[in-house]
Amino acid sequence: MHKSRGQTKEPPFLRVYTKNTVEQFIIRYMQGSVRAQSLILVSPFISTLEGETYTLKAILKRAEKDRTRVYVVTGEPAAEYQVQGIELMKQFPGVEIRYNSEIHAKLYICWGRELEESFAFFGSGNLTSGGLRYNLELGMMILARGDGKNILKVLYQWGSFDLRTASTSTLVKSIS
Amino acid sequence: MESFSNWFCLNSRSNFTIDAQINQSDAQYYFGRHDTKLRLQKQVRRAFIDPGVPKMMIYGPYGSGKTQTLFYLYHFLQNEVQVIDGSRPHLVYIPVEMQERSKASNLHMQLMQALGKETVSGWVRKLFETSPNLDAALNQLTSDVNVAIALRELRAPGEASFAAWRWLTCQGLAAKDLSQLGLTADLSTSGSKDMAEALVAVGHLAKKVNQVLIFLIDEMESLQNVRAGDAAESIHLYVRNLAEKKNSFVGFLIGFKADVPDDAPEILRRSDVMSRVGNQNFLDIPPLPAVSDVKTFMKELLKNLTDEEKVKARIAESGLDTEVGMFPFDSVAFEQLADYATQDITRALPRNIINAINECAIQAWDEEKALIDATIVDAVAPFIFQ
Repeated sequence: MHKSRGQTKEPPFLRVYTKNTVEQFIIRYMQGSVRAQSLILVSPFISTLEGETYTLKAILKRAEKDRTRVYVVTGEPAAEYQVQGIELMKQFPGVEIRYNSEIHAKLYICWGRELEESFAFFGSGNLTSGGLRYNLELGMMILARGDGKNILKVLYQWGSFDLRTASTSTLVKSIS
Repeated sequence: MESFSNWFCLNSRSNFTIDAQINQSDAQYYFGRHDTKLRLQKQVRRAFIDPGVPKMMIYGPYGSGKTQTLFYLYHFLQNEVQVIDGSRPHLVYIPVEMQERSKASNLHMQLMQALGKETVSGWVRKLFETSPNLDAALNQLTSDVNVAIALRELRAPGEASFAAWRWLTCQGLAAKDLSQLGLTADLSTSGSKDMAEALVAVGHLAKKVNQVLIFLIDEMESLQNVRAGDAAESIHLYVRNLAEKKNSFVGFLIGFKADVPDDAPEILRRSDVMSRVGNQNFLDIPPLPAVSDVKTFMKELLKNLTDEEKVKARIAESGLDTEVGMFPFDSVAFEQLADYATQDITRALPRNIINAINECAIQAWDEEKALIDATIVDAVAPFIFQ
């Protein structure tokens, strides 16, 4: 059972996850039929996700196939696994990478060509195997239903404009 | 490096997006559709003469600007149609959500709750202050004695007031509560006609205290979710009753997603609803049809979202090949983006154009270019307008 089942009923636009948190976003993106306009990945730490059901390479290939622009905001890599993640992303022309040393937020948005197709996930999990499956994380999926639409717009505004143009964000690789 | 906002001389905003749901003041903008704007204004003004309140359906594909149209009308009604027989519009924006089994009572409840108990209670209190006999005044609003009783209970605070509100919003009342209030029927189990008449009575109440109640109902395409035949029929009857000419107290501006009229929720395109609303009140908000329309849209957007004086100074200081209404694009890039936008007419949507402007601007800012040039447009536009 992935979803939390508290006594309070979740509104239809929101799902709370306490297990395999970030993986829920990846699965929704990879298994869904949404041809995203953009994919926003905000995570201080990003690995290649080798050994996971969907690797980072598989995610980026899907984006490339769909001609989806991928915007990544992450911390400057310190560990080898982060370097490998960045190097992999640099191989994809449709990926933009920015470093932000102050970033602590974890936000993932699949922005569809229609708002109804869009969804976002935010919580504590990084885009690493630990964040996907092993750590004790908490996260929320926001769907484009009812009030979720406005929440999505606010998250998109932050992830795709405010954060990318923040003075603390540095462009490392642009979309080519 | 300068902030993105300063780099492009933006007018108290962080980017080129307009969204009245995020920035309320963006409701004033209606770019690139001069004829539609005039038609909207004319239809709304005429509606206050006959049938007394506007009843309109606004449709178009996703991203064409339906929600912005509703918010623009909100702004227009609030600021430019100030006095209607001494009354002021009371505007309620609500994105509705209908599910598979939603019935008229669900729609009624959403409208009433968006209006709010405090608002209706305030109107009842105001009527009480100005009427020698409140019961008589309430009975003039409606032929349904139960509605008059429920409205009367809203005047004073307390349990009875909350129970009356639950009744009026179709939340259902226990037999004991009905009895205590002196109500003989439960509105939630009554027919659609009764619910519509209850809403019209609230609109009539508003009129008595110099308010004209108008709902701006967005995302009505969710009516497509209603699958059960009896549920759909109940909503149909509810909408039809509100569309009746004799309803001159509750206006509605309904927005829904539909590429062509046949894509509209079946309930809204039935001939009895369409004939009551009137063909002239079905307004199509299509993609921007021609390069010149896209250019006008871009020019008006860029002119309004930037600080004109700062732009002029920037152009003069740096000798830039652009002008107000084109900045931060150079003249070639501006033309090029308009061309990209109209290569596939179905993609020439304000949402995509704004997205492209933002993405081009971010790339220019990254490259520390004073203007967006054709190279940037070539890199960005295919992703957006593909």
